[in-house]
Amino acid sequence: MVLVLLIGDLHIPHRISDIPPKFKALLVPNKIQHIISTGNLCTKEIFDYFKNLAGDVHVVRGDFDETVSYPESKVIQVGQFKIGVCHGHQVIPWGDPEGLAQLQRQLDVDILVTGHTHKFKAYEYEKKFIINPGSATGAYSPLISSDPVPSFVVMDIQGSVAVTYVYELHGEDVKVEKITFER
Amino acid sequence: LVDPRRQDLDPTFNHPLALDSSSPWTKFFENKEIEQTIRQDV
Repeated sequence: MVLVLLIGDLHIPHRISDIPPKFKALLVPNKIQHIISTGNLCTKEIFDYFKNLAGDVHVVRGDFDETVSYPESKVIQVGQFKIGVCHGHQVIPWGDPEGLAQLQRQLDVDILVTGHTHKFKAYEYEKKFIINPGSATGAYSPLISSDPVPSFVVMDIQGSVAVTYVYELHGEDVKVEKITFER
Repeated sequence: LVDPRRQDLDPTFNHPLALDSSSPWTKFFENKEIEQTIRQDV
């Protein structure tokens, strides 16, 4: 059993001061093995925070990340799954299913993780899994008229099954939803 | 070990990061810790 945290688009400190306390309470060390981030952390402190949560941290570069040490995209093998990650501002139009499918084929992955839209989304496309964990802080996005819902994702990978848990913060309540994807 | 995945419960309660002590996932992590300690001691 492997737990993978998908998280990104935090925009700290430019748009918001921190991760919601309700989320911070859930994210404790010694549970998660891998962290895959879609980028736009914007500060090194968040990277250190991730390192504290899990030993294996992968971050790609978002359009607001100043450090050049993060790559544009990355492919990570977790169990039987090949997981590709890219911030997503490079895919135009943003969040376009056809564009994301093309990126998925380019990286040749089973699961494609992208961000940028600040909106959670998960669906199957030609038997591949496309997922956007949204923004963990609910940071402002010019693409959404209302305030984005803070969200992140935890994947439980075992054998050929990936169970996806979606965490969303509605007011003061954390809502969790479960989606199962089989390879 | 209890398998928290097999339990068909409301995910708002039964999820991997659950803090509630009665959640199967919390039990799973507790048991795992005990198991590790046992392995170390044996």
